[in-house]
Amino acid sequence: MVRFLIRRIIGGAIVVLVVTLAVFVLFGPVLRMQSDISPARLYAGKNPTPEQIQRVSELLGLDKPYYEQYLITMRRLVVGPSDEEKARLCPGSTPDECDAIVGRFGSSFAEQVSVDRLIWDAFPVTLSLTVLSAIIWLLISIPLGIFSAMRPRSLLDRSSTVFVLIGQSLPVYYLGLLALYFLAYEFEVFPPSGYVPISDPIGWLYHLILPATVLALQFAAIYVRITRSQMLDQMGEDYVRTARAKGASEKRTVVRHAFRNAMLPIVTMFGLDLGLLLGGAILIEVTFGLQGIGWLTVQAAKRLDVPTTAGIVLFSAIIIVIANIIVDLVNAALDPRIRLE
Amino acid sequence: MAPLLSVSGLHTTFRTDDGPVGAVDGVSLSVDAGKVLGVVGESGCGKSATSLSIMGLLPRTATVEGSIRLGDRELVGMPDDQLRALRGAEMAMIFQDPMTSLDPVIRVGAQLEEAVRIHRDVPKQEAREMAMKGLASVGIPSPEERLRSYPFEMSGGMRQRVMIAMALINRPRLLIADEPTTALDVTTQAQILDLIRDLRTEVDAAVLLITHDLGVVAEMCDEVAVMYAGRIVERASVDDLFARPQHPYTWGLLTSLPGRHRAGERLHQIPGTPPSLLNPPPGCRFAPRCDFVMDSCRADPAPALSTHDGTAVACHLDAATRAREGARAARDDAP
Ligand SMILES: Nc1ncnc2c1ncn2[C@@H]1O[C@H](COP(=O)(O)OP(=O)(O)OP(=O)(O)O)[C@@H](O)[C@H]1O
Ligand SMILES: [Mg+2]
Repeated sequence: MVRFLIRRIIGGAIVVLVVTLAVFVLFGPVLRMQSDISPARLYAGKNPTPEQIQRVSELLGLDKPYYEQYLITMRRLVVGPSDEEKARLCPGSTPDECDAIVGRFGSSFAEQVSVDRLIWDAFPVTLSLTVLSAIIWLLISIPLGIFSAMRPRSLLDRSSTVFVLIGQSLPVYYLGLLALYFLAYEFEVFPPSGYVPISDPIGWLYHLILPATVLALQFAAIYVRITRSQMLDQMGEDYVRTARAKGASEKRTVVRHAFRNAMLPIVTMFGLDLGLLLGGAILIEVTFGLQGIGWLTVQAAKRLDVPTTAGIVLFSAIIIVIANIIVDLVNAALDPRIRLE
Repeated sequence: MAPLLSVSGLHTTFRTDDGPVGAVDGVSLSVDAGKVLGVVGESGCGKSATSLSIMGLLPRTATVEGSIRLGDRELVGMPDDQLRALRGAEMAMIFQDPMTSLDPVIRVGAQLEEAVRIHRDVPKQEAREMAMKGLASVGIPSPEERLRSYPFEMSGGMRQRVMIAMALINRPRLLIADEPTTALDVTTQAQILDLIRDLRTEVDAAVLLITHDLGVVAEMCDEVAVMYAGRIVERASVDDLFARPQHPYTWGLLTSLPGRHRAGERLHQIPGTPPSLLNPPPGCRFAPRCDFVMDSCRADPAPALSTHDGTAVACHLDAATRAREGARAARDDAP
């Protein structure tokens, strides 16, 4: 088990390493050669003189060879910015002020602030949205999927099929706009936008419930489908018949035996979806004006804020790698065939 | 004394997209406590449908008509919760494929304990004790440790032993074994059959043993019912069946036993295939494959089971022909 865990962590670290390299190459040399975008010129402000650009290049270390730049980037990512870097990038600031400007992921081009700070400010929003949404979609889809599978072709099953079709074919921004129009503007049941930290739980829920539900509906559709099909598969298995032959009640057979087995692939999918969403639910965040990671991505891209964009990509990759490791652990905990082999 | 299990006029029909499939068509049989009744027949003749009808384990698409009596209770039409209370307690079942019949993610011990605790309100410790004794009784070494194993850590034979222990843990009065050894290798087969025989004596249960192997029948059973296309065509004591088989289908089964052909000779086969149960032929269902078919065989009504000298047979052939041909089929000694 420990060996299994260590193997997964090493594997994850390698993936992250590869991603850093890819991000570095894409946002450095490739951006420069393909689109003639020079970070130094972007950083230097409007209509810079060649001397200004040259100075910024030196300031950011962009005049150094690429391999050296990569090593510096990696060093900063792993152990944090060095004192020398801090002194160079924020001369005359107090250490606290400097921490806000220089971070592991670098500094934003668009604002006088570190990418770390931008991400950590945005992340709670995305995390809240994701978690609330996940709770909603699981609460809808797991029971619906199970009951549909228990009574295939029943009215409930057919209705849930319609729900799946609608949920999967309506784009989330369209559903979001509809919800906004009717529930926020026309009837003013919910606020149209904004985020309230969870320290005010009621306000938090009140502001998030609409976007989280809209996001959840789409996922619920997918999860109803997979729960139903997994349950149908499992209910046809021999061990389910054995449980019935023992005299187990329908509830016991379904919950303790069939669902226990059906949930294994669902858990995997759930973990990966969570990881993906924590990297930013762009459409929902933009539609509902939630300043989360997805929103930040759009802002950064619009403003050609290269370090922020690169930082978000890297951050999302790390989240996904962590999600994968957690999924593996949970699977091992749930499935002895994985754990003991 | 009334038989422990008595099935009469059982009709089991599956609703399918192509129409109703009459998997069991008027089956009657009975088993006494302490006896083993074998049910033999080709694949698809309705053996499993019969046993699942008795257990009440058929899918929702099936309808059951007729009468199934266990002791003095009628099972057909019994409310679900009452039937559930009988399943696993009064009647239990072992299935064909031990590899898939246990829940893959639950420890063997927990599965056995569950079988106890569904029916009896005993403390966990006591259920555990019973589970351990159960494993010991089916000859599983170090049962204490094995309680903690998962099914995938066991061989097929082991798993079938676990299934047997689980089926017998509440001392049922009826045990149905649906081809319990088909999926196992020959040595394991013999061990499992021995085990069932020993435990049957010990528990004094009635056993309904489903198989397509006449060798197993000869070794295990007191009586035999031969099924063909949803119907019983012959019912006799084992000795009578092998010594004086009455039905042409039984003759076919006997002469196609692997042990019966001589070296180098081709294995005898009954020509043709069983009829579709979707729209079976009128009259005797074996008529299209029968060497002795007469015009009357193809006309309704089908021959009814009638009893001569303790053997019930459903065939229009005259007694003299049956005696002659039966003797020919039984010429070689019973296996
Ligand atoms: N769930 C079902 N739906 C529709 N038809 C079914 C169903 N289960 C069984 N049947 C049909 O009923 C008939 C009898 O099947 P059954 O499983 O009882 O055969 P069997 O004698 O046990 O065969 P085998 O030796 O292969 O186990 C077959 O024709 C089969 O196709
Ligand atoms: Mg069968």
